[in-house]
Amino acid sequence: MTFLVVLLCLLSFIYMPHGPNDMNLALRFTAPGENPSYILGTDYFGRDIMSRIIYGSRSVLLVCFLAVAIGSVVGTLLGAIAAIVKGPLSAVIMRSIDGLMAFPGILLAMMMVAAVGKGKEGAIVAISIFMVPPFARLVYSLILDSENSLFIKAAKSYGITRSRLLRKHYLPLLLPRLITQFTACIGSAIMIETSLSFLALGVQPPNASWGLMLNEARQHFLQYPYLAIVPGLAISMAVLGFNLLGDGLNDLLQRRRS
Amino acid sequence: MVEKLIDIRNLTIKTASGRVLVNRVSLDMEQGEILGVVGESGCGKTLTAKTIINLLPENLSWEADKFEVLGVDFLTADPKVIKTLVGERIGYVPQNTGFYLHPMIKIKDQIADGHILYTKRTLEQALDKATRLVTAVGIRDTQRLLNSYPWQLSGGMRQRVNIAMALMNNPALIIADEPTTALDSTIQKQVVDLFRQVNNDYNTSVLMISHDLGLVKHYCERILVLYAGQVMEEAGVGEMFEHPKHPYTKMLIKVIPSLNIKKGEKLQEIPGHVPDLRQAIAGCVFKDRCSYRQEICDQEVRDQIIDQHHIFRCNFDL
Amino acid sequence: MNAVPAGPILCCEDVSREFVTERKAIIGTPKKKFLAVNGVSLCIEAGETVGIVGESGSGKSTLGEILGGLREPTRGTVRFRGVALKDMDEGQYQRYRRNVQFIFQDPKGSMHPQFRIRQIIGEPLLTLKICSDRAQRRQLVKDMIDQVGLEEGTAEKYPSELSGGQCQRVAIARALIVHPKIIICDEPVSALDVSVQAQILNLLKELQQAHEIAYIFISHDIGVVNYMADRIIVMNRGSIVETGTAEQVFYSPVDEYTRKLVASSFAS
Repeated sequence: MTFLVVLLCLLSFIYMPHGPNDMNLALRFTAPGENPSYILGTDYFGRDIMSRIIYGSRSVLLVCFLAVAIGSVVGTLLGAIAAIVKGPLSAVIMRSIDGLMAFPGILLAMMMVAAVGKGKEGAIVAISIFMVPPFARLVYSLILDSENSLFIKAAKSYGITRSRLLRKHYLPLLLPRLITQFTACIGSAIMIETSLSFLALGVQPPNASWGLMLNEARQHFLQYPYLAIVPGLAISMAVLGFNLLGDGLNDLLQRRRS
Repeated sequence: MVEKLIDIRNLTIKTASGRVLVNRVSLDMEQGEILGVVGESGCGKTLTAKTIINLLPENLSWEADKFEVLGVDFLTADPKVIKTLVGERIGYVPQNTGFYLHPMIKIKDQIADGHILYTKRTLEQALDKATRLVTAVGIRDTQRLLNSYPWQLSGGMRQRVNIAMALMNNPALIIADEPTTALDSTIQKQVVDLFRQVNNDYNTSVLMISHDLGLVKHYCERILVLYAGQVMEEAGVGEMFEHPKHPYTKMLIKVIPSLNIKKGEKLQEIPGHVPDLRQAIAGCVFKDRCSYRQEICDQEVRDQIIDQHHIFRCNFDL
Repeated sequence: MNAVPAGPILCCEDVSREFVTERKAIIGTPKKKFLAVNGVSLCIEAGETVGIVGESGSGKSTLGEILGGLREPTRGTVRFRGVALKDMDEGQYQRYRRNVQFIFQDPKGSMHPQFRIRQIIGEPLLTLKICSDRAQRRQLVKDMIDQVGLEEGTAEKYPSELSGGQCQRVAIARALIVHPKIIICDEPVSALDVSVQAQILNLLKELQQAHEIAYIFISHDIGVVNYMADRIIVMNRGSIVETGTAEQVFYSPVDEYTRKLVASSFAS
């Protein structure tokens, strides 16, 4: 299913039935299936929903991948530093991570957008900050877990440096778990991104974005429910897809290890 | 003739992918006997025991020409009958002392579970019996013990609880899988002495599985030596140590480090390592490590019978 | 190079180690403590084997870790060639690390599961900055694999593909590759099958003669320690209860606990 979403995104670069912002006022509110060239129908401005979904997937995936990538790198580093260095620095890092986690997510994102500005950049920064705590905590607990294992002790017995220990010993151990976490986080990142753009804080109109499409559909929802159903379905399929992918990867990597 | 307690002929255990882990092992035991099964890790001794208590992992399958335990034929009997038999008449003492005890339930609340289930006694009756058994296994402060959680006890204490638990239903047979390996040496002796005592007092048969030939030597009457899933030699203890026939047994006896070894001397070693069971082995399974190997060993190996109680698997009579 | 000073290589003076077993809620100040090692003094001379016997919980492994610098003692000092670990500069510490190596009980567990044997054996060369040249490192690893009696093809395998005995040989190769003066062996054969234990013990003895290494041999198995050690230390509840040559300790034990330990051994 994820494959489908990514494919959809790639598709946007080579093919779209119509320009995502092309208006055809004569064909406003075409219902899905009514007109063969507008498979999923058109909206208030007569824009092709199919094309907007395809185009929207591009911005969703871009924002989410970038944000989770930034968040995972920062989070992993923070967690690793906290776990390896120990002492007061570790306490400061982990407590602020806890604080961040306790903060209502969407509120934080709105604040960040207010600080950085609306649009893609704002959304990326907001989501990436949101993604730091899960990675930091995961890495922190995994390192503390394997710290007592014999091969880490053995490595210390021949004088390994901390940075080498982290790069060569911990990282390969953590990688499978991090990959799983990464895909799962993409799912939740999509949720945040679409809520941000629904609140008109993410991608700005007239550009296409799934959340934005939901927002626009709000006014005409009762007469033309398909306007909301189609992007809604796209969102849930994408989130579900990434979550399933995460589960699948987890199973696969777990099995390979045993 | 006395009916045998256990009579297993040609037990074979395979993985789903067809790897043979236990290869045509025959095992029999009489009432009141202490039998030792000796072998290294991966030789199939634990799997054999698990088959008897019906706890073989699900991804393994077994077959046998004959499989009778306490008069019940496992090949034809109703699974329910087997389950009842195992629960009522066989006691199992595991290697890992904590493994068979639920960590968050007090001893008194779990020690009697099996007893109540199979004998339909009341909790009071069961606890009464538990108290007597726990005293019998050498625990003085019984009330404190019964009110403890497993993690509050030492390994030796937990193993005593396990033994007491195995004795709850007056079993005809106790299977002890490496019962002392996880224990300190000063406690090891007490625990094995306990098996001896139980054997004496209740005429309970004991099947003791161990990698430690030294331990088995002191406590068993008959020994079965397993290697790579096959029986190498079977004999009474005296016979086994005085006239070992199989090269593997001979070497195993020599490598027990003892206080009598001269310091300057090199230890007798068995070269090589245990074969990989992923490939089927033609002929003798021990041939790669055997100094008597000849061409015939690559093709076949035969069982030699000296008398009813001494059997070994080798092409030569050494 | 400087002349090697005479006298013991590694010493510990009156070392103790406490573990906090329970902390007060919230503030985390220690509530209960457990004294794992209590006032132990010990010296190791070049080329000798010191056996440490005791049951689990006697503090013998903790003592080994203190001597090997893996744990700091809460009291007392460890000296390598007369210099306390605490007072060492970077170079001295590097030399200490190089000269004191470990072999652990569980050979497989002491190796990173995702490393090839070649990497495992060669890593100390990198971390101790002994050899940074790739080709040379490969050659050294190859020699080592040969010396501990493994086949050449082993180098490209992973630990999970080897048997316990083979893995312990790899661990020995890893310890030996930096030419240490002391190897601390913490129960090196107790996790192995009986039929390979003798191989490993013989190998350790051979290597000792070839390289003049001192061993600190920690074990609960009296038979094994008796075979390996020149000098024996019996530990109980964190303290040394008896010391002496193997003959003295095992054939005419003075201490009550030692007697119990010897009597309980099935190896007699």
